[in-house]
Amino acid sequence: MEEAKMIKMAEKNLKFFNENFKSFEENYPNKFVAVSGSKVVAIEDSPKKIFDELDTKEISRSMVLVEFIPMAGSILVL
Amino acid sequence: MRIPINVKYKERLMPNVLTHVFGSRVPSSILAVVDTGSDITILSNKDALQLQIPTKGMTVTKNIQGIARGKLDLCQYNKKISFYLKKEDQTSFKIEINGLYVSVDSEACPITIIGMDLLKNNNLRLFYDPQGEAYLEKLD
Repeated sequence: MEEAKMIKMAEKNLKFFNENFKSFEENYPNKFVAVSGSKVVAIEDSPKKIFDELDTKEISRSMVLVEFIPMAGSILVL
Repeated sequence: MRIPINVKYKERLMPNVLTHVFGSRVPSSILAVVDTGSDITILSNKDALQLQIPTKGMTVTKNIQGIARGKLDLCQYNKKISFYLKKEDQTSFKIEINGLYVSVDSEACPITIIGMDLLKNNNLRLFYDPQGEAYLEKLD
């Protein structure tokens, strides 16, 4: 059941993230953003800082989507 | 059997898939890019932190040279990890891998890559149309 809950939350998080990406790009370039449910729960400069903040707020890492927000117009080549 | 893949990744065209990872200390869901240009599957430093896969004290076993000047140091995580991907019929498809590479550089690109090793070992092939449709297909 916990797994099903996690998967459902992940899909909700991704939907929220995609719907708000333009706004994130404008407001949080070069930041890491954590979303959970339908809200932003943390914004930080580095992965370590964002997970430290989530731990401080006692938000489970299983229930968040953490993504890096690139600068608008930047090109990514792997 | 097909696993749909998102093509528009934040307005980019990299094929990506929401992946549910079990077998680590903290099960979590992460976005992973399917990259046929990578021989190996690489967990980003960010995603390793989310899954609480330790990188401190691990020996660097590989370094990767990309088209930029910098190199990327990787260490090998040798425990079994399970990836769950959602199929077209909304049921889950499980992929087990016996270890993967983890980026030890927190400044490196924070993107997890599903490489050719995972596709090859699980008989998966990638269909990719940049106009919108992409999926992984299981060859039985």
